[in-house]
Amino acid sequence: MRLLLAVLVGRLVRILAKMRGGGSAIPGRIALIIEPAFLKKTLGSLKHGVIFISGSNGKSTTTALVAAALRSQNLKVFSNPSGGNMPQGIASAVIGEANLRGELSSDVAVLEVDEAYGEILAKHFLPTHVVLTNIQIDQLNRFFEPERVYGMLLNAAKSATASVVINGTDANLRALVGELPNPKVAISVSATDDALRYWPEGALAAPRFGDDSESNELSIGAQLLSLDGDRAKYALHEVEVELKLPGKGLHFALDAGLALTLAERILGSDFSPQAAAQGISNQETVYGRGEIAKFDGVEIQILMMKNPSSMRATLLAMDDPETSVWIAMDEGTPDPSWIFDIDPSRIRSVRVVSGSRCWHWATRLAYSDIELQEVIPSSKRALETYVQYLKSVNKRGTLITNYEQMMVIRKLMGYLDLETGK
Amino acid sequence: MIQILHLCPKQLSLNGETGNLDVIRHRLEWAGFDSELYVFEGGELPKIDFDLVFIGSGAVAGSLTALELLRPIRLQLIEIAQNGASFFSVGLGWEILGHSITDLQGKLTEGLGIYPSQSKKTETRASEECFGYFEGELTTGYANHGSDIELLGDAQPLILLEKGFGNFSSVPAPTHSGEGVRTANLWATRLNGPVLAINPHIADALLVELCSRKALTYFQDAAEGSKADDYARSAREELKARLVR
Repeated sequence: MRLLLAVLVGRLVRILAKMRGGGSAIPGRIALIIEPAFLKKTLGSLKHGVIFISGSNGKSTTTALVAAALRSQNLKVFSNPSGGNMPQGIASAVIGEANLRGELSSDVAVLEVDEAYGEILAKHFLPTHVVLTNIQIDQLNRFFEPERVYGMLLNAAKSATASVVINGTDANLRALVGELPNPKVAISVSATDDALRYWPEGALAAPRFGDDSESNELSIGAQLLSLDGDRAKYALHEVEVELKLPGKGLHFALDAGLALTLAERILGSDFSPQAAAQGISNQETVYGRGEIAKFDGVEIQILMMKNPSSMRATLLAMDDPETSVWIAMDEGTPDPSWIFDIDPSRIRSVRVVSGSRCWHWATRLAYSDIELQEVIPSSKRALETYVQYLKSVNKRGTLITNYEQMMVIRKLMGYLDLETGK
Repeated sequence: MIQILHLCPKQLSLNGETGNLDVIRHRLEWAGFDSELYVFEGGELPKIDFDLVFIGSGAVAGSLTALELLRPIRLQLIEIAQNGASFFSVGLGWEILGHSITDLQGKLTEGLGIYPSQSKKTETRASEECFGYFEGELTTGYANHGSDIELLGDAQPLILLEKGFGNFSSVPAPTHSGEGVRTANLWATRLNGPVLAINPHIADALLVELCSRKALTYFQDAAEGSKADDYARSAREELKARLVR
């Protein structure tokens, strides 16, 4: 009865939230208040279980790629939208898809899970598989230091009932697997030196200090053989697989490797690598990771910056470094100190910086050789100014933004469905 | 030539602290001085007459690794300090250059004994913006730490906070308003990251003292500096306005 009420009230709130153009986590929050076991009751009995995808960066992309790989094998996949990676966001997504009895018609749930919430969600229901993308320097204001994230992800990984799949190029994750109690199947995605050739900075993992046991043996998953732009080739046991990534960059290639590895693990002998490669290749960019927004006759590529690693990856993979970019950041980034840790030299010029952190960015750029045209705290005025500029040069623009400013600017551009990015 | 020594950047440069060195070197250049940077990552320290020693902050494990890398050159660092070179240290870099660090279990680890301070890890963690004053000038930053630092002898704080957490992670200003430490040539702060970029008045005060010890006159009036400082002033004012709102 409580479950029915949670779904009904959740749906009503969802309609109201959509009319306001925001508040995607509110329906889920209310459903969880009405029925605290909401997630267990709705997600706990799927045929292939629940997959947690967590880590500092690449969660949304990996979630999308895993879902695509599994759909390519004719599985019905439930997934949460980009950014809705805490219990209330996941519950909101369930409300959007479940019937009134709270039943999902899916075979498997692929859930992007915030680093801090994997161990909390695991108290409601155990994940079948846990996929870990990386441990990078991220949200220090919240996590203080990468070691704490390590502990959180370790606890999430311990809760996996079947397997843990990691990005094996990350030293912290290799050490983490060493601490898992046996027996636990741990599978590592790796990359050859050749594939790493054009990415001398590697996957930008947080440094690892101290002694590591690395006692558990890692099963070998997908091995990245080569990477050329957005084309990646893998060895998956005896089979070679080639696919198109959703964007350029080693981070995307490792994310896709995780998706191939996990899909093979779930499907076993029924797994079709070619179908998975096709499914991944057809996957569009996750929103905020290079999507092209159209507004007032111009196109603006939106690149999200969360932390130094994602910013570096964004800069390395920028389509057109010649374009004069727009940088937007507000206090949704509580501590912008890290902007001094990235080398912004790939940006040739900045047309405008906006948001309440615009002065931090302006100061950062003043200690570089990058030309800055305008500092405009107001997002609305910055959008107008940037669009005018793009029209005058007849070019596509690039917006590099934090999550909160991305939501503000998307809304200003008329993108009202913030859950799906449509 | 101004000789700068950067200690253990691999272990201690978690959150933008290296920006402080960018700021110092740019400001020196704008004022007409050349500088040279030597990075110490372990092993022996070359016999260079250093004018400035810098160390950043990081994770606890990184700081303890750095401490062990620095122990073999402890006496050299003390000699550099006694010869009057400026030290500017941030966060955990400062803590390991202090007298001791006591962890949550009560275990005491000896620091290098350069700064007149000792720290004790706390269960409470401070993680928020703060503002205060350095020599009457508005000073802002982000505090993210989990220890109480006691200043020893007659050492004075570098900054006096009006809002936020300074040397005590467990008790904010105004009860404990002291932030950082300043003796004649040993300066330190716990303000994260590029504190000198956002607070160039501290950078300039440091460089005035550093240069005067070499009988040089540092004066910052370059157009580049003025532009950077206008932006930084706006960043500080925006932060203060938000915190007092």
